[in-house]
Amino acid sequence: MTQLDLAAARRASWLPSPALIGAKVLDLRKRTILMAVTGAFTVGVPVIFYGIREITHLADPAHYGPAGATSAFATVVTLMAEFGFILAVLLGATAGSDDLTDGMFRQLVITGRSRIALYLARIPAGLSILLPLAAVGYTVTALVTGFLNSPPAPGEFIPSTGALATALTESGLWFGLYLVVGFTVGLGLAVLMGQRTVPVVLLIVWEIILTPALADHVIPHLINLQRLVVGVAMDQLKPAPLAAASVGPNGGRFVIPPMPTWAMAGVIAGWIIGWLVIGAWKMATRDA
Amino acid sequence: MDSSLRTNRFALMAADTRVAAADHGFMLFALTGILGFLAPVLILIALGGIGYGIAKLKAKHEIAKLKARRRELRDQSSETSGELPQQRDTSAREAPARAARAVASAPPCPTASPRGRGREGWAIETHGLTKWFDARVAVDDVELLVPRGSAFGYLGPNGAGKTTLIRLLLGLTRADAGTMSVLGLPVPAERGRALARVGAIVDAPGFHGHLTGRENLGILACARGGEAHKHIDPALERSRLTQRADEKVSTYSMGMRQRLGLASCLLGDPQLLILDEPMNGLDPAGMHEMRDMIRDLVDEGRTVMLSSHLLDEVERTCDQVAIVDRGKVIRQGPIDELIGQAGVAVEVQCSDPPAAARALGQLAFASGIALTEHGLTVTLTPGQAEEKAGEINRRLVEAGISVHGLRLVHPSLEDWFLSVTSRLGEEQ
Repeated sequence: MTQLDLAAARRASWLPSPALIGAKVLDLRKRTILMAVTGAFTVGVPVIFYGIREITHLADPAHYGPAGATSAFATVVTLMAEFGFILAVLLGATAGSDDLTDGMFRQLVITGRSRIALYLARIPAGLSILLPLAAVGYTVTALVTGFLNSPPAPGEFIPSTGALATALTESGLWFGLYLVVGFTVGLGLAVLMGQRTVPVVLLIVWEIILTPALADHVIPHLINLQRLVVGVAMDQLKPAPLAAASVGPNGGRFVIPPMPTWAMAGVIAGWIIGWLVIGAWKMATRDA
Repeated sequence: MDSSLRTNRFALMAADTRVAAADHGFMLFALTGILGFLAPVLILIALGGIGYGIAKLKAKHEIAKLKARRRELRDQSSETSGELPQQRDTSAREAPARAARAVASAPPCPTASPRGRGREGWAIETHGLTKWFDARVAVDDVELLVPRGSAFGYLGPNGAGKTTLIRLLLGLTRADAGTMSVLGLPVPAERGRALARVGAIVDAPGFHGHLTGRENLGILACARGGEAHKHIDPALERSRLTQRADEKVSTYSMGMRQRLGLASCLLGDPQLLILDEPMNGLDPAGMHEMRDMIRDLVDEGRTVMLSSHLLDEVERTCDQVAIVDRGKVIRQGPIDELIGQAGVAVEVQCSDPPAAARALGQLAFASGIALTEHGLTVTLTPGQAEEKAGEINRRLVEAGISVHGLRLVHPSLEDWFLSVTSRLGEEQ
């Protein structure tokens, strides 16, 4: 087998090479506006939120508690999750459609590289940009919660270090999973539709309007369908510190009867895998 | 202990962070409003979907009818000529076989297989290749043989199906019928191996505008793998883009993008280059450079297939051509041979053109005589043009007509193309 044949065999493989992933990272990383938005939504949100809290606390400690009060933690993570989901959708949709809209997809297909490999390379490439920045933002949140929480506000509960670490870890993992869901759904839908704008708008509407409506109201006879909504499953999977911040009028209880953990995991995995498979199918069969 | 601590903590956090939730009734009202707003949209989408589905089914039905009609017409024509179905198939493939024989008589290609024009000998080979777009056939039963080591022109008017054929060869879209091979490898079965040795531009080449030319080539080199990265600088140099290689592609002119497209073709050190309208967007100097570059590539032993509607460019650049019209290849072979079929004309300047026309009217080798302002033009049947011109001169002198001038006019590819396509128009 010649070296050319070896290269051809590698090209036929559906597994993306590190170089291919790196190429996609380069493509995304060089999109200045996208990167600015990514930074603002991941790191900017907690920095601004805590910055304002700390300034108000320093200005008037009697009325405003410290920036890192445990009460602020759930609020800021919930905010980060909402902004992060939109960002993840945007990044996923960009990763899924920019080759098509720029006309580069055809050039890539002509190289003989497996279309599935071209598609799969977008997942680690996009996540390798999204998750580290989200981790930085979350680390800011964790550090502020851990260190800028004294003196405690009246009635403020200071958990033990171990409990705080567990809560931070669980919340961080949930936050990361939320972003992964947003990214994969955005990617799959953008590849399916062959463009970025419409999928992003649709998913923002889905996330901001439809999911809360479906999560906060029981539709008779359709509860099991409501449970198939990824936002509902993610809501029920929320770690307790975060769930406490978003309970609304029901005193901390879910409107839709809780699902078993395996069902939540199934719904979330189904959404991730389902959209990835849809994207892969479209990518493999699309006319270039 | 720990769980009660957590419960307390969470209860406290819940109390602290609870946001003022909207009233339940208001939420229901909002939900009803949203659904009320969305309902007409959803109904419209659903109706549109149903309409689209019906239209699609109708189109499929029409296509099936058209295909059946085509089969019927073929059957009828073969029955008229007394052929059996199997003979019909053979007959349908005689045109490329003739082209193959014509091609075989051409000078040997540098990279041609020692076995000659066997399966390995053709850079591109298609049989019965067909592609439909709804009820329209874009590529119609195409039989194409592109010899290795040559510059091959795929000529046709706009919308003739040139780009579609190229897209089929490159696996960018699927064929509805037929077989094809690229560099001796069946496509799409061994598409990956075949394309490893192929570089191509299809339509206007697209690149990421926010990246530099070099970065774009880097991405394509990553996709190609192997030693493609080593070819980036030579490819940029060859396409005369080295000085602008580190500028964003969004600042490039169309001609520069075309050059970058050519550079991307060279990344894999290809044996075969497929260039779709490569002269598009180039200024005269750029076209000249592109022509030279194509000739250089052929001289290096590579095969270049270029599609174009610019007859003059193809005539200057290519050794062989195929003419495509409405998806069908109507002629193919070496340019000289094809043009030779068109017949040479003789322009005669004489003292009495009408008398000259009468004198030459009975010549067997004069396929046409036309009076002009200063004389007449005699179109000759193919072959031995100089001898026939001499015979014309002798006949005119014998008839007592003074001959002031006699000039052989060789037809161009454009003349031949127009004569072929106009003949086809008459037949249809």
